[in-house]
Amino acid sequence: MNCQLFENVIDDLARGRMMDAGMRESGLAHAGSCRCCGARLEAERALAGALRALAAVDAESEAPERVEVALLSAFRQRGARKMAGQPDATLPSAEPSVTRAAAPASIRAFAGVENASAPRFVWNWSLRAAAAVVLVVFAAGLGVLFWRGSQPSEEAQQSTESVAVAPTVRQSNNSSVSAVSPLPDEATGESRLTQGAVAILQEASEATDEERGTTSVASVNNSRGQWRARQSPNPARFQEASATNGRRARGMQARNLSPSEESAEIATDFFPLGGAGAMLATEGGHVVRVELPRAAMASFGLPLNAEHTTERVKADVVIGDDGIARAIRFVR
Amino acid sequence: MAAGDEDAFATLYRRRQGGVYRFALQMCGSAEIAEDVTQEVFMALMQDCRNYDAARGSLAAYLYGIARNHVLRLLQRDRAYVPIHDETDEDGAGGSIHEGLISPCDLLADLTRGETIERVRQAVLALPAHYREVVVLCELHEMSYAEAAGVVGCAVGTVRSRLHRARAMLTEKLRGAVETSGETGKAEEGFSRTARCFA
Repeated sequence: MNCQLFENVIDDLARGRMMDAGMRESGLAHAGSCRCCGARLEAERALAGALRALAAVDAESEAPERVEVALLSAFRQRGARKMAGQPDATLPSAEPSVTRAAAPASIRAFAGVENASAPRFVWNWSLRAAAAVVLVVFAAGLGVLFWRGSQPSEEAQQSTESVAVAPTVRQSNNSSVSAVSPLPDEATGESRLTQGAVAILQEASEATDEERGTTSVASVNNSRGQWRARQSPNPARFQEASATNGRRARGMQARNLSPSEESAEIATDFFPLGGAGAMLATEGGHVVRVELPRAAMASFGLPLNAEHTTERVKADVVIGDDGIARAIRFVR
Repeated sequence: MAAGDEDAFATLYRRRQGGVYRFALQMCGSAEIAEDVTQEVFMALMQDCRNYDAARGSLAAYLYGIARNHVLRLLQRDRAYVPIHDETDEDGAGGSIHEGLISPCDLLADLTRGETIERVRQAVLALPAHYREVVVLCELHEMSYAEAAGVVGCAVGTVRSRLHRARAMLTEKLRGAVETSGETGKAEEGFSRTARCFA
């Protein structure tokens, strides 16, 4: 036997495993004749002996009895849950957290070592999922805030250019409600609106409410991007607003524009407002003509020329009897 | 057990918990972690006992496999906090393997034996995890290469080569310990040496 072959049998020789008798004899003979292989065999034997000693010392080691108590308790709880008819599908997700939270604490309390070591926080999948959901919601909130915060900055430039902003919201007693088309997403209950768009139109609706209550007209506060009600200094406009408040378009009855108005204005379809709920056919309401930043069109998925984002666009907002904006269309 | 027989579960636990606990203890070196791992293993068995397929391996291998996953996860989590054992650190005399097994009297031999075992334990714990697990399974738990391969989830040849490498590393570590304690051995050269293998 040479040193290379000896390497193949040294493990069995050192650990005294069953092996071919001839190989064993020749291996031992080689270890006796080769000093290097002899030392190697001796070292392997010493290592094997030390590992066996370690195994023998640890052979008595067992999990403490409190682990068995906790496990049997958990087993009983699981059985009781099954008896109660709780589906198994809930067990894998629910039980580990219960057991991790309850059993180790009870185990340590039982052992009197509750304060011996700092409690270890164990991440499980439910906690990770909850953390992920919280992060996503937080990021979405930040995004909306950022979006809303970025709108006034664009409009602020415009407001500096045109300081004297005329009151721009008026009751449109002559606007055409007949143009209200069936809400595209009404059947599915889905909304095409972004959260920002809903916010804009809800603010418009609030402004109209204020207008009704204070007989004022609303305008866009360009510096802050919010709809505000301002007292109308014009008595004629005051009377006009009062008169139009009394002429709500009950039941959304169709009224046609005059031919000249119809040809003058081009309007989009009405876009439903997701946050306001679906509009019922029998529900009353009225239409308010407002002016919005053109950038608001992007919130409804309409194409927008980037060069004209700071300009304004007219829009008709359908407001229900409850004062909530239901739909909007853009008019040119 | 799957039918909710508590006695069956208790019997199974009492039969298998020792091996699982020792495996975790020898892999982590912490009784507390070993305790947690044991509990996690049997909780997993309790919840997903239908996942066990007898055709794919023994129940012991299945339990060891779960324990291994938990241990590796814990080791990875606590990797930054596990102190690295410095085998060159002098913590006392008589810590050698060869010379440590040779002692002048039984009392000293027992003391030396304890220190030696502790030194071997630390050497095992200092191994990289993928070497440590094959040493623990094959050397300390006396599993065959095939059984260890089933637990680790690799080929038998991989287990064999890892074990070979791990033994070489262990020998090297323990030889280093012998050399660092060589001076102590020389100081004890007046002792009448009695070869006594504690294994």
